[in-house]
Amino acid sequence: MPYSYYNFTRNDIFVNTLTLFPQVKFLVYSGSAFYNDNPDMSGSFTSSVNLCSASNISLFELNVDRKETATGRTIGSVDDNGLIYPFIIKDGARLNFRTGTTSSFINTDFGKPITGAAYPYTASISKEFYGPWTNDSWFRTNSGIVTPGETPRFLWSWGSSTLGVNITGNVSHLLALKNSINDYKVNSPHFEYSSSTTSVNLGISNRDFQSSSVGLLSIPSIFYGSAIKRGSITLEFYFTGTLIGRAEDKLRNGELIETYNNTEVRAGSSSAYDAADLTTLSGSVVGLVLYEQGVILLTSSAALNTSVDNYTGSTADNPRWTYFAQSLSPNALPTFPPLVFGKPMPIPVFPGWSNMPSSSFIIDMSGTTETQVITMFATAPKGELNHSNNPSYLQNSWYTSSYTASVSSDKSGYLELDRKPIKNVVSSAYNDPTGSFEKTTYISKVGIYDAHRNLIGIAKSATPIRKTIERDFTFKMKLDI
Amino acid sequence: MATSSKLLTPKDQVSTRTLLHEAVPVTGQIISGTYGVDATLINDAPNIKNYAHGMFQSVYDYPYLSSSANHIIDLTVGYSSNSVLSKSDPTDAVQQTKKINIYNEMAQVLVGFNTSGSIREFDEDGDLTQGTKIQEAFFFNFTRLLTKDEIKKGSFTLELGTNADYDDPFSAGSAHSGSITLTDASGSTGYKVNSPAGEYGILYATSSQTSGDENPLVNVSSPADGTSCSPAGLIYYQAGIAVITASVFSTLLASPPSASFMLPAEASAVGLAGSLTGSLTGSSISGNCSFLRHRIENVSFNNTTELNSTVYFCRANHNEFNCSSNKTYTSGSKFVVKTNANDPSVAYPTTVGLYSADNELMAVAKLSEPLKKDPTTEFTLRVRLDY
Repeated sequence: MPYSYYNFTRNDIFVNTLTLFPQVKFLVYSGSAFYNDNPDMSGSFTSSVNLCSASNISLFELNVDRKETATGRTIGSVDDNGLIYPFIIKDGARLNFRTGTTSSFINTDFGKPITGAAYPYTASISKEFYGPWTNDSWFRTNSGIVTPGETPRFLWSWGSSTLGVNITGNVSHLLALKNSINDYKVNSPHFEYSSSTTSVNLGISNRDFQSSSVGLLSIPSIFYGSAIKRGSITLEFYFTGTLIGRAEDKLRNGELIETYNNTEVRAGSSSAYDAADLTTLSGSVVGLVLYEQGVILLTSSAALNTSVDNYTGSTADNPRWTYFAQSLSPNALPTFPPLVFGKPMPIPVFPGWSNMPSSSFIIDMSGTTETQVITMFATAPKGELNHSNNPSYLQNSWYTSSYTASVSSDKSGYLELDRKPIKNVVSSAYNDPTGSFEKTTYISKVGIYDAHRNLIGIAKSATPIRKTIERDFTFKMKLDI
Repeated sequence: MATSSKLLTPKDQVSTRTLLHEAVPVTGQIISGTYGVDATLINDAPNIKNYAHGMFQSVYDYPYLSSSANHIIDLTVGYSSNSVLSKSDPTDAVQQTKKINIYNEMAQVLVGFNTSGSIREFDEDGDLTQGTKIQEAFFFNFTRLLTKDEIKKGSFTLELGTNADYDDPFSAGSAHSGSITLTDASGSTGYKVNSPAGEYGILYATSSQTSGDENPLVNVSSPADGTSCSPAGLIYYQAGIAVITASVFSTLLASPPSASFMLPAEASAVGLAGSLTGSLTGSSISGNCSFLRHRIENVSFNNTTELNSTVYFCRANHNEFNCSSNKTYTSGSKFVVKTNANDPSVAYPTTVGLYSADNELMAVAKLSEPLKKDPTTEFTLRVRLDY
């Protein structure tokens, strides 16, 4: 009787983690970003097949080449607008979509659908530029202090002077990163939101993120996984197609160090920028990377070139590291929704960018993904698994004949034949006779069972494995979990 | 002494199930025509994949060589060996063996076997013991991407063009509405459970022409209520398969030129009558699928995804969690949140940690903002864990 089931022993199963570093590349030019060299693809109905630009990742990749259209039809209890979209039925669980408002939720009757936004749900790289701080105040208002291309550091509203100051507002992403920036100080003294005396004494420039000119690149985690790989980041700044600067985190500590600059271009320096920067910039830290957060901070305001481009609105300026990927920033003043006294400042609406023809940028890096893999070893020992219940295991004539089984003469039992010839499949140099008989099976599958003998998985070999009494095999099975 | 942890009792946790739906429209534009390179070569559409085995045809929502394309439907056709279309000599019909095999395969999975071990045929009203059988059928196998866990009962709609003119399948003819609509309007309450593949509903045919339609499936006196119309197919909710009787195209039973289910050019090229029966017997499975696609005006349904959750009610009573071990809580051996020694203890919880029985941190729930907690307040934090 062949054994069919074996227990995995302690050494037959182990779980390990497979760490991979997928490459991530963005090319940024003229307001557009291209992820891993993917082009913008137009469809038959839409200007973009995935309804998003090439810099985006579409979460579910649904609604391919579909256009929102009022069809006048309904699908069950919801409208058919030509797009796939999610919805739930309001019930006692009081669940709502994150994008839904409280008022609309309250106004929806129980048993009625609450719809979410139509797909795609996308993520993309973004850039915020915080200009140099010239105001003594901590706050920036909607009164025009913010220049085009610049992100406000703090949005606020206040009460009248007769009623006393009543300040409410929203902080910028830069300020929200204060603790995260300071947490990286163990890697490098450059990671200080506000420079301490200690770091200044170490020769690190006295800097306060609250008042310095900073470029903030945000990369959603769907692009890189659990963290950006240390030492993999390369930023390249091109002007009219010529590389004018490269920065890398070659020390793997989060410091972005300029490793290349186009000295020939710089040799033509003029009074448009401070020529002293040229001698100090190469090899110096021009930015910082928060690996786990997917954030790149560009801190160097030194000019890279004597040429100019419209990095902030219509004002021409020299290329600088803080302007890296600046074409993803808005180029005009944001539109501010109406203020309500005593309420937090509403998030402004930023216009798109269109006018930065000479500058292009490349971000090259690797992400980190971790996949847990369970590995199982199933051993077919010598002398076992040498019999099969497959009908083809027996000689064809015997299997199909009436000799396979019978009912006893007194009909008291079912008699299985005690002798059934097994087909001899031993290879021989001659058609007849065949080789000496040897019990042979061909293993084609390994079934994985749980403790209750429920079949929970099947591993199939590419080709059946010939198993004889003298041979033993170990099947190595891997499963991503 | 500050309380930093508390045991969750069975009363503090409950498992729930939430149903998330999606509205899924699949217009005829996607299925047929948009990406066709030549109207006379319907099989050439780049979003349609035909296979060497010829058993079914795959439909994508975009040219399938693109990585953006999603596989949405597999279409196939078959008929029973008991059908009038079944020829005694299989060579008299194109791919007859395959068509019967397809029917049998779908039937044994979706309908099962009878007590003698024979494959049951699809039944138009779900009563397997009697009644009319669906012996010639088109099969729509929707992909998991669209159906998710199941098709929502009562939401399925299929619009088919039945006009005799192949080039104008959706226009109304003199004696019929031009298109019919198949719905499982009664599916939410009237579904069947006697299938090995799960629950299924009956698809009923309706048309805009309220009476006098020559299509017998919709020629009823009061078609306003879907349940009063004739059954025209079955929709298997968990399997994501629609079985449509070929009788929906009964207006196309005549031979050309008065009616043509087949592409006329192809019908004449192979010397076949272009009628429905001529197509089912004289054309390949993939050819029939292409002719079917040509007559699909719209398919839509809602899908369902089951989200299982456990809700933990973390209760902080008035005398609990009023102190903190955070290093910012004290300064100079004094509580920084206190002005006077007699002030009550105050803490600002920001996080709830869920621990296993052996005190391992399993999950962390973050509050959107810190909550002020002092002996005069108590609250219950509802921590929801989806899996």
